Amino acid sequence: MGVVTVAACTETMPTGTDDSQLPGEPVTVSLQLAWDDFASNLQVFGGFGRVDDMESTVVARAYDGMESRTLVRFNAIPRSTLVRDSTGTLRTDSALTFVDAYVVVLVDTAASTNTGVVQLAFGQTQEMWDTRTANWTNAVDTIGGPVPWSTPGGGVVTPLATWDFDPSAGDSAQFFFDSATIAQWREGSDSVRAGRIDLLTDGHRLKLVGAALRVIANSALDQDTVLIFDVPATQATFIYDPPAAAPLDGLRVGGSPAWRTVLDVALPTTLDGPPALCAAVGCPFALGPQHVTYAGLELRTRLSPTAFQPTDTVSMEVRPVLDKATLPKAPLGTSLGTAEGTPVPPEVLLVEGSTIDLPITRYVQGFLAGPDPEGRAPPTTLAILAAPEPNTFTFASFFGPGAANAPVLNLVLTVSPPMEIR
Amino acid sequence: MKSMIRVALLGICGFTAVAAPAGAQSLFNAAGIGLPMEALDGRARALGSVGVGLPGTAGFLPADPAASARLLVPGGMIVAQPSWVELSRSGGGSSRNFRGSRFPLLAAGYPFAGGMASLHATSVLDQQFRGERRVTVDLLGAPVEAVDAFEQDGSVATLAVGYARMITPTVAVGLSAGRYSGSVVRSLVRQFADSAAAGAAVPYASSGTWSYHGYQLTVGASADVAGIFRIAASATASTELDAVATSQTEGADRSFAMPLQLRVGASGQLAPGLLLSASASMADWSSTADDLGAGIEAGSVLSFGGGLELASVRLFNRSSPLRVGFRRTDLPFSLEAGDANEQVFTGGFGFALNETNEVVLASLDFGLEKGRRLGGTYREDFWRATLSLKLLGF
Repeated sequence: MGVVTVAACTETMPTGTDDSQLPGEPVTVSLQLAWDDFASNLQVFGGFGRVDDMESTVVARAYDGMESRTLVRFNAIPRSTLVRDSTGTLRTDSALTFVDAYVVVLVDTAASTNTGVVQLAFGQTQEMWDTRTANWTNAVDTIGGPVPWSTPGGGVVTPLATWDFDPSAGDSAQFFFDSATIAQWREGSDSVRAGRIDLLTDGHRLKLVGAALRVIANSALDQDTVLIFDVPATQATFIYDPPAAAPLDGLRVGGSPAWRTVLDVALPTTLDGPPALCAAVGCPFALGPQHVTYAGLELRTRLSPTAFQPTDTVSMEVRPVLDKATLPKAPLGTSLGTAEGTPVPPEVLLVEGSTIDLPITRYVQGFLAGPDPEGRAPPTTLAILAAPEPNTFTFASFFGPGAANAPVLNLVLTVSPPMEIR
Repeated sequence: MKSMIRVALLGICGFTAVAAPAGAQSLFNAAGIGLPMEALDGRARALGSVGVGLPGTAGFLPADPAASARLLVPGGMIVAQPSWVELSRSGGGSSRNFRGSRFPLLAAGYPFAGGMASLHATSVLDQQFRGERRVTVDLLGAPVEAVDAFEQDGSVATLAVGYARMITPTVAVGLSAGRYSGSVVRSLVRQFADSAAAGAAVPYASSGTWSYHGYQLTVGASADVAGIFRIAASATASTELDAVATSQTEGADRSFAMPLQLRVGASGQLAPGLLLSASASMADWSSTADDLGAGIEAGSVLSFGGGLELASVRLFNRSSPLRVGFRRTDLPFSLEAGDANEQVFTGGFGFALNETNEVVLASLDFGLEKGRRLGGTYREDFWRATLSLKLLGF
């Protein structure tokens, strides 16, 4: 008897075979709000983040008038290492004989503009430079006072090697050192183990994604042993000229240092359309947070200046501006979309008028809900920025208000009559 | 003996503890104001009774308020009722199975002022069900699949106090007054299928919660005739059942008329140890249907049944009566136009846990029903078990 009763303890709710017992069907409608109906006061700010925050660097030469060079500094070359001698015993060998050394640079061929061979050069920098503040004009640009390069663009370098880079042959370039340079770099300080990578071929821009110094040595303990050391780059940055000018209109997101676009938001609380919505629930319709199924900021692409036109994906996100009065350095809230942002591939950014949609559903719901239980009003300003920032030298551009391709707010609303008891 | 009682109590309590909150047992819960439930014990179920006119320890049944006058000693009863249902439709399509347990009756009686005071907690209406609707909606110009999932979770119960006493050596009268309570939550959630456009689409939800309020009064009388027959009748009148929306609910308050319920029953000894019982009830739900509106139809419903009890059977030297019966019940609301009804063949047995001088102080009663509900194209075939534990003289 107990078994019989306990057997029915797992409840399964009676479920209908059709929708005949369900209340009326909700209506889901899509609509667009024009810029003037939801936003105002568009502003673009630049200067967020540092060039050396990026995990890649850029070299360019006469690329739509833009020059860019990469600065890199390497770790110390090992002076000794453990080697197994002829008897099989591990011993420290501090009498290594360095026979070869070269710098290996990895190139992101997909994000670079060249399809044919270009020539790259590696030279040893002769002047101290600060990876955090170096720019085209100054080797050091701190509050204590700038230290200009002897020659803008990285000063004078000692040419060490060149490499004809053919993207069809591989994705790396190698710059081989002579024995004097090897000896100098082995004994020198950090400032000695620093170099500049230049592009010598006009009209191109290359994205470099890594560099390392590879050193080959023979052991004194066992002449048959060849040792290969990979000495990582400890610092890398790039300097470029001229910097991008602030846009006269429109939106800009990305770049390094990065650009942000900021706009004020004022959403309507009542709607008089579209007809499908009015037919379902009547108009004017009081828009509430519970009705918002999706909200997205739709932007239409415009071409960036060629020098900064993306050749790689730009990830974008929207964040609320928490203290508008402190713009442009205002604190921002968490991303309204996914943590990794909305990826915008370069081919989309290359076609003027392409649409991208940045989800801001959570923000719109919060805006319509009004002040939170503590009485704090929702933010009324949004920032559109790269994710992370900076993540690309190039930037994305979009049409602003007042143009045919002005931003709009896409809304998907789901509405039903109030739930009744029957 | 005490250990047997302890085991039985533990069994019931364990069952109560592991079972989820009272579960639904029929898709007909979705019809009208819900599926009426009857607070019957295992014995009444096994005999096909509507709960009135049974001799013995039937005094705990709320449908027969006068019967408790014959209890003489304090007592209590708890009833558990699991069921297994298979739903099908005559138009074809796959069948569905569901199961659930509920506790339709908790009762107690105590001698008071020359009679017997009683307390009943009973189930009245079951409203739990859910359904789905698949739709295609437009999300920013792209068709996207969506599912509307509706769920109604609710029930109506009563808590009643009563009093009964013998007015002559063979005639008893009783009454009980109860208050309806309960609530229902109706919620609809639209979930959008995964797609590029819908990936960021959040579900839409609409819901409402109502609490139930109302009162009922039950009066009844029973008489022993010639020492071998018991006849009884009772009537239950109710105020309107008010459904009051919570402050967060946009939906309106509603009130539903509850029908006058009339019951009659009789039982008699055909031979020593052989009992025949029959009973019937009637209620007119048409006013409730009027309040529901939306084309819902309901009228007078009749329920009748009968059964035989062979009381002389003994198991392990204890009284262990066997019972069989039949019952047919009209359902007030159907899922489609037309009438709906329930028909069951019943059986069961009792087992005396504590028997002193042929007086059963503790017993288990088990009823098992095999039945079907029909309404339009809907058909439910079900097994329903009812297990009750009665304790007297504690």
